[in-house]
Amino acid sequence: MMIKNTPQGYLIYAAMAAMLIAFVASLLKRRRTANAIYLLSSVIVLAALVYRGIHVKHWPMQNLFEVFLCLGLIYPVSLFCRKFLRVGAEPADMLIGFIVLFPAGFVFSAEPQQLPPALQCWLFAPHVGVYMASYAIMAKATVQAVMAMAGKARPADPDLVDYEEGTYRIVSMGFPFLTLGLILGSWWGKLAWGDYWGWDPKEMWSLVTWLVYAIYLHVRAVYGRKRPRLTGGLAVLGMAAVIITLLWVNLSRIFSGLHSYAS
Amino acid sequence: MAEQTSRGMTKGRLRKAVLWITVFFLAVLAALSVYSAFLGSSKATVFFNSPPLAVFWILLALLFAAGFFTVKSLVKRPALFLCHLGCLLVILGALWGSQDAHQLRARHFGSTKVREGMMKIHEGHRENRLYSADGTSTVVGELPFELGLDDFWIEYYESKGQLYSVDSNDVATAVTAEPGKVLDLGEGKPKIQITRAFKNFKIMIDGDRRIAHDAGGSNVNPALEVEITLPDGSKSGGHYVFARGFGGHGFEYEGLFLGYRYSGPSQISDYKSALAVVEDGEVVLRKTIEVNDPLHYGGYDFYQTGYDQQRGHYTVLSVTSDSGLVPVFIGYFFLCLGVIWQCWLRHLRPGKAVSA
Ligand code: HEM
Repeated sequence: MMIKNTPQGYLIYAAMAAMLIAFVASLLKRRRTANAIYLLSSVIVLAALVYRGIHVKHWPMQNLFEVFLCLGLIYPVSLFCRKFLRVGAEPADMLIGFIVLFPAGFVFSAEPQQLPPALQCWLFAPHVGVYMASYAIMAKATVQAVMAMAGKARPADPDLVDYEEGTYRIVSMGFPFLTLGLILGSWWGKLAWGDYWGWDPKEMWSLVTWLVYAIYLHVRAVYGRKRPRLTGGLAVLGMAAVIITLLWVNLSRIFSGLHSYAS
Repeated sequence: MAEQTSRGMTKGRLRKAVLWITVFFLAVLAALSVYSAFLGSSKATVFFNSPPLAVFWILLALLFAAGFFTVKSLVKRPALFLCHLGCLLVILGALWGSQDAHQLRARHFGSTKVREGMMKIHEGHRENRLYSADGTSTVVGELPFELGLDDFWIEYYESKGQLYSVDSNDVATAVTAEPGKVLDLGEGKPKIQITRAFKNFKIMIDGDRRIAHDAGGSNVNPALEVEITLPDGSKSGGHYVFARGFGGHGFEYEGLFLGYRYSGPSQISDYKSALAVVEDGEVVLRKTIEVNDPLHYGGYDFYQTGYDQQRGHYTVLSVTSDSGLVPVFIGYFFLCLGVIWQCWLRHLRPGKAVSA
């Protein structure tokens, strides 16, 4: 646990505070205020990212500090889901925003690093970028899945779809990003290491994640909307795999792998 | 009518059965992947290329193919067709490009292509031998052409370091070590301006004049020339602060302590090898490769992977066969297209009615 006494740190703390305030405001049924503060928090996260990018002179997606900072930019996902998919649950997104900013603010070092040769590739930003997008989206899907598993049929707002359908729509939104992330990573591996697949732990976990969501889609194709607990459980399992892919491989020293840049 | 319904039901059942078998296979693959994550990449590579796993891959490919024959929607709906055909192509390409497939082709069709190897080429020399990728000196094959190394070099990040001062309370103030930058110690304290930066500081004696100059080369004696402005406004120039310090001492002037923290040997930004492909004694292609930018020639890809760490006289390349790559990458393309079509364009329409 460390506090960052830098402009970078202050921006992160401000964004975290705004996420929390927005969350509390939405609990108090102040939807408009909550939304405005939520938007503000995302503007601050964006500012923190731009600041970081200028500071380190590359896309801020190299280490876990930068990755978690990127994940804080969840507002566009909330907006898209409400406008196009009729899925709400923004208060949960605010909490997710707060939770993912926490490691950026307090756990991971913001010591700037230069890009080692293997990371200097145009595929670097798109590969990590689509993964960040998919993770933020799948985190939102998890909330819908948990609600569906808890036996809640639908949100109070009649404009919104029920939780089972919400899970399916959001997983459908996130799965192509996950697929793109995997394929761009594989392409990059081909360029950097000579093989499009290296069988290293980080790759294996991201394959597992992708497979779990593929299983979700197929089980959903069998049962449709009839088994929300089963399909919801698979979506939650997918998120567990995401978290392991993102964190465990980096933090634990259990595996010896190629993907050690992010540690 | 009744017959149609019953056929519909068997179709439905068949689709369900295929889906469940699919779920089973995907779950097995996921479980094996989790297991292999604990093995580390080199053991996992061996594991996934072992004979039982080869059987698994072939069964998976057959399952995809069987899906096309049994579930009509997989063929009729272009999005689903692309998703699944993409996966099938990736598996087939990977099988074709595997170590075993290379060996089978060598044994039965006289192919001389090897799946992978390493090359070590000295500057000014040519080479066509491929060594085992495990780092031993076993020769695993020979290229039908030669590769020459014209030059190998390493590029570094520009590293500037910092000029710093420590006051009596041990509080440090620092500024990037660049000409023009000013280290301002605050009200009533001196200001130090950097007037010149030397990578390799040397003194030249010209008659009785001593001239500081930058001898260039790598950072042997980095130094900064500074001009100090005292609180009373008096300026004093021509002072030198050394990174290495003479005898480890810093710089002191009128109670002011200055240091130059040089970032040390800077981080490597790239390794580059200027290669020439030689066929029948003639150079047919030249390319400078670097990490992330390999050379493709004659069915192989050549990657920058290592170098002579002592003297930088040779380069180490890893070499991989390109067999099976085309289906794999076409498969990737189809998979992306199909998944986006299926998941985004079909489902994600604003206000779309809740699906059944
Ligand atoms: C990991 C590889 C696979 C991926 C990425 C994949 C992807 C998909 C996707 C995205 C769908 C549509 C689900 C939906 O939108 O609700 C689907 C459906 C389906 N998949 Fe796969 N699939 C894979 C493997 C397989 C395999 C091995 C089979 C076996 C033949 C298979 C058979 C089917 C069938 C029968 C459907 C349902 C089609 C329908 O709704 O009529 N899939 N798959």
